[in-house]
Amino acid sequence: MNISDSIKTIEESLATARKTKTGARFYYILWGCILCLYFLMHFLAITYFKNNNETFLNWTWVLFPLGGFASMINKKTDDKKETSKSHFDRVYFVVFIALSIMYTIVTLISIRFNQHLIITLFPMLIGSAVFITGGLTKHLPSIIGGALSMTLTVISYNAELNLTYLLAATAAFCACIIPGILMKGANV
Amino acid sequence: MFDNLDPVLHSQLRLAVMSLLIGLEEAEFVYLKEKTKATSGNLSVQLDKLVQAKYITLKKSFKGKYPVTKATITNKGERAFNEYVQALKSYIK
Repeated sequence: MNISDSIKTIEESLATARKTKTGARFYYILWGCILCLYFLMHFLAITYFKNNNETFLNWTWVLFPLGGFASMINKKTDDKKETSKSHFDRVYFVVFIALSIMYTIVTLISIRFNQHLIITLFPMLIGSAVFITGGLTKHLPSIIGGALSMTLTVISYNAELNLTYLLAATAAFCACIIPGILMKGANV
Repeated sequence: MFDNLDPVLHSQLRLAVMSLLIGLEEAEFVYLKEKTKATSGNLSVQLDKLVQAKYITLKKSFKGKYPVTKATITNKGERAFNEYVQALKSYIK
């Protein structure tokens, strides 16, 4: 084997390895839709059904176990089919674990100080996670969606409660659904 | 002629395997076989040589009822691969 053969082998193999997908697309679209729907339901209930929205809002949490169940099914199917794992899998895993921890802490803080703090900060939290993963995986729609979502927190800070929910839904749409859709064909 | 090149890596199949593994967290035997277009026997022999050099580790497990072998590159393997690439660069200059 000569030098040019070695270089060719390395280049071809690296290009092949780079084509391995993470499966993040499914989770971005699924959880983007769930979060968007959840916040939109709250926005509509608070804005248009002020007097009798309690019972309705008490049931919106059902969306999350449904999302968890769909994620579990997808993970099992992926594990059966998958024969290689990209480095980006770990990136997504670590960043979204960090996001979950931050979200839990902010939720606990908001229970004590301001119950709506978590909704106000949601665009920043999800936006930063998507921005970081987008930067590391070089996925431009995620970088733009994440940055856009983070800036929504500034608007959300001064907004009325119902609009805070609408902005959170917009953040889920910008940071999760759009980048998720645009992940088709990308090496992420 | 190529004295500086690591003899463990200076083989087409072993180099292809290492180049694939450096870009991945882990890869199954079937993936490596498909991408390198090697025969099972030859790939097994070459993987064993990489394991002996401590450049990769092989982990055997089960996927449902079927046995699966997963390969991962080690830190030593990563260093050796980088040194090999540097050596290649010095030949090109």
